[in-house]
Amino acid sequence: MTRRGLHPRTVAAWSAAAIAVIILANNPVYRALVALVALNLLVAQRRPGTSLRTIIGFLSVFALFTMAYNPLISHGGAHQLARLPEFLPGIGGAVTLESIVFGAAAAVGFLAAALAVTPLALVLDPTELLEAMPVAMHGTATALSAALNLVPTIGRSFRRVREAESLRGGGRRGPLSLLDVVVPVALTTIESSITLAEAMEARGYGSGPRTHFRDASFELADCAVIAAALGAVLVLLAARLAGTPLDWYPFPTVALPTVSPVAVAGCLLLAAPVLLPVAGPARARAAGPA
Amino acid sequence: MRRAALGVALASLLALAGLAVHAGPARAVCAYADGATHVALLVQHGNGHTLKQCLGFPVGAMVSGEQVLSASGVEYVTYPFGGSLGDAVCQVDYEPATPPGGFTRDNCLGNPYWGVWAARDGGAWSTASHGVSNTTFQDGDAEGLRYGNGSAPPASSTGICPAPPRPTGSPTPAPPAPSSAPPTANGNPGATLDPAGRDAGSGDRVAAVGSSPSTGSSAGAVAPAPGNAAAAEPTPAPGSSATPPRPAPPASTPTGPGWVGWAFAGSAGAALVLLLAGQLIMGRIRS
Repeated sequence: MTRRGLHPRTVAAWSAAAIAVIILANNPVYRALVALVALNLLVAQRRPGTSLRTIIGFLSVFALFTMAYNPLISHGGAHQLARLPEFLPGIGGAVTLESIVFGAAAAVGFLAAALAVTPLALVLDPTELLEAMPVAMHGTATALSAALNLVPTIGRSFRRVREAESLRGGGRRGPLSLLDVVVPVALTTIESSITLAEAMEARGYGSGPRTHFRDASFELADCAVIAAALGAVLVLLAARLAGTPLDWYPFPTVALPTVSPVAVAGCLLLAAPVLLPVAGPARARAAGPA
Repeated sequence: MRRAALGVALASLLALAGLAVHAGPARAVCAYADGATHVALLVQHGNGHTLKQCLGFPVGAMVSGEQVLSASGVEYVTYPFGGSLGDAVCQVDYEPATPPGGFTRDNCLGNPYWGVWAARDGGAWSTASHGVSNTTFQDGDAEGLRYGNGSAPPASSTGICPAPPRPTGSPTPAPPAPSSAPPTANGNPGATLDPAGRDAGSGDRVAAVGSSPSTGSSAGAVAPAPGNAAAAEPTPAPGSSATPPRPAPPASTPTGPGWVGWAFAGSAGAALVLLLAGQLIMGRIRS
């Protein structure tokens, strides 16, 4: 089998299935497995030139925050480790082992969910994602894409305006200086939007159905990955309907979660894109000229 | 004036009717009605005393653990923890004593605490993954509450509720004779007393309301708990001669964390970590 990247719709289906598995089971063991599978997929299939460092760093900081924040606001649990003074608003009370463990489990869930959707950004190119949308949603997808593209544009404008102000000797200092930046940034953003609209019109946007330079085709590996992802969801759903304990809470006293081999097998079905002979990022780029 | 009084009376009647409708779902129906949903309730105190009840609910009902407790008439206090966790049980049958200022999020679940267990369809006990309000029970299930450190399950729930009706064609056992004992104050027709240590096959099963001792005491020896006629404090009878003539049911074992599942998950996790490391090393070598 030729080693090519996954079809954008396959990646989208995989991400949706991974999210469904995370929602179906809040047991951190299953979520950790999904996170590991997603990490493997990202390392194997990410686009050239993309780095995992930024996203991993951001996710780690957020996970640590969740772990530290939860024990401060949740005071239930049988094993009290410390006690914060009651007069502290919101956080006063017992700091328990259970709330720390719950925070860690929540962090694992957050990491797994974030890593499950990261392939949409790091494996697929934004244009590939746009191509993968159904024809009826092309208009909405383009508008959404243009809107999302504004976010980095606003950031760049903000930096440029601040630099220009500093070069001129600067105005006000501190938070109030933001007021001097808001108006020029808003004007620049509107100007960028108008430029984008003119560019789209000049390229014939809206004159007819969207054309494609190259159609990415579904291959056997895509079908296998989608079938495995669907299988993972069905296994977890069946396990839940059959009464298999998929949820876990450390309250009132922390205990090891029950792990079902069936549910583990369901999670491992998500590893199909890593284990199947499919490699490389975007199909169109990996395939070369048609 | 008369019209105003009539209006007030009518409003009161309507309010009472509304309350009755609100309380409807939690009220148990005849436990031995054909096809009714039977849920066993076992409350095990810290000192080992157990209260056992078989509660009947409408056919096909799926009830929450709190509804079962409510229908039993046993005194209890819960605290809402929110989310899918639901309500936690702070106090059952006046154990532990209500702290000064009442139960709060901080003191509801101390150590020991009331652990909620569930036995599905006559199976072994397993810890409930949600609070008592969000744990649901169906016909043949048992709800267990044990005051302790959560490590051990309650006593066996076998025999608390009658065996499910046999299939058509086989002789159906006659329903137990109704007791001549008067119903207790809260008048719960669905609760059936099943004193453990008494031969259930002897027709001595008493249809009554309230809790029952599990140590072979007679129903008459049940002393009502202070302030709650329904929740009776059982009298322990260690070494009681009222040994059940039938063989003792197998002891319930707690569902462990699933070592097979853990081994499988651990192996899978290790394999994924190795695969990740291999990919990273190969990527470094290639670059």
